[in-house]
Amino acid sequence: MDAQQFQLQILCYSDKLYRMARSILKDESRSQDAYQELMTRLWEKRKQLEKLENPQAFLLTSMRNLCIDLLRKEQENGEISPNTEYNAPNPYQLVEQTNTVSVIYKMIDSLPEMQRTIVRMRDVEDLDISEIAEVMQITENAVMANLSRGRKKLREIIIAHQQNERKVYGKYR
Amino acid sequence: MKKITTILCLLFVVAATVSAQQLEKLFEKYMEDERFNYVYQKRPSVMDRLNDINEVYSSTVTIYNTSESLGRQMLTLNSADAALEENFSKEVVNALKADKYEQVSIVRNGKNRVEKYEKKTGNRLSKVSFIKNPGNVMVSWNEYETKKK
Amino acid sequence: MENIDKLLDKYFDGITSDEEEIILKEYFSKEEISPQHEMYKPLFSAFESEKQIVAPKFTIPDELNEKKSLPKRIWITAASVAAAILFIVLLNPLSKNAKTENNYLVYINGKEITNQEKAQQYAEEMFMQAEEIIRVSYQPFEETKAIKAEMDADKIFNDLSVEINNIESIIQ
Repeated sequence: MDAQQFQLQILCYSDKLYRMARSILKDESRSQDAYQELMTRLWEKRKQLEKLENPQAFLLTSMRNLCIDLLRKEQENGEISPNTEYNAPNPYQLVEQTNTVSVIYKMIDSLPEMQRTIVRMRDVEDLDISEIAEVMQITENAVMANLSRGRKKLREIIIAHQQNERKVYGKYR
Repeated sequence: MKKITTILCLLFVVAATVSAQQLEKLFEKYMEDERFNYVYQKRPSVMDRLNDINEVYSSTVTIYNTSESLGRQMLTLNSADAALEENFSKEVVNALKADKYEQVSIVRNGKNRVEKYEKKTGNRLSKVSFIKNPGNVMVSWNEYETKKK
Repeated sequence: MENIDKLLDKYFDGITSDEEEIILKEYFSKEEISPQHEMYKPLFSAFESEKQIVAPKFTIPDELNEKKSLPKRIWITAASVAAAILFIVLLNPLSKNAKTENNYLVYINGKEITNQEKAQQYAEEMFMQAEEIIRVSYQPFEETKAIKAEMDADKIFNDLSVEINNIESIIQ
């Protein structure tokens, strides 16, 4: 595979891969590092990439695995575990944000990794259930269960946030 | 540069060692091939020896040289496939050329064609008969060690 | 409005179809939506704006640089291959025949005839056949040679001289 083929066949998934890294690592600079590392490894192994049957699934799975490995290493070094459910951010902190979209990002990021990744693959990347199942390497039923849990949780957080806003600022609205 | 010269020298030596044995390689290549028959006789019987002496006499070596047979082998391709026979014949001729055999005679007898090749290296006389019959091709290879009296 | 409420319920249960989700997304991209749906607008906007995030640039490593490192490897591999070939060629006994203890080695259509008697029979038969073909083919050639020899003037003269000498010696 030469540079041009790599460009056409692999680099076309760049944005999805980077967004996946961002979603899992939740950090701009670490995501960029992870992305560069994955691309470098893929370039080195470009000969094997010629035979990929399902490049999207392969690439996204690789990126996810790379990021989870990174997080695991950090966990071993005594940093935060990737899978524990975050407590919902303090409603008062959220209320102080003026940009509601970034508030939503925080809400989404507060979901456990699996739910968060699946929700984003559905709503941002527009993948279908079967495609998501291939990337996550779980059954379609499991995907739907996680999607449902994730979205329900988001609704709860949004409603709770809404109610807090009303409590705090209600009389000014 | 040093690496290149070393490698070239090695390859040259290998090529030199290998080049004298094209016919041998040909035999080894096909002796166990299912399309061929192969026979090899290590030490000839007395009768064979007499025949061999006659053979030797009728060619380049004169009567007062006795010679000892070093064995003979023959490879036969039994095939109705003309293309296969052609290819094999070409391989044989190429091998004989590469091993520096001289063509001594060609004789045609109706449907048969016999080509005789010879090579003398020091004391060793090698004789190859290349026989083309309708339906098969035979390569017969005899070697003799000549001893001058 | 009822429709949107139903769709929203389905959405948060994770059971909306692709078409239904498209309807919701289109709805929430409008400027004016009903007040009770306002709180969900940021969610759908957030997803839309995430789609705009692009990856940083990845520069494909320079292939020319990679090629420079190849020749070295090729030379080392070539040297080792050549050495290996040389080693094998020089050390191996060259002829397969040298390895057989038996006087005869016969393969018929690739199968070895291990029975020495049969092998001998077959081999002798084959050699005889070849010799016969050669003899027959060369017969005219030999005959011509013989005739030529007989017609050789020098030979005739020599033979006659020998005869004359013999006769002379007998007379004397």
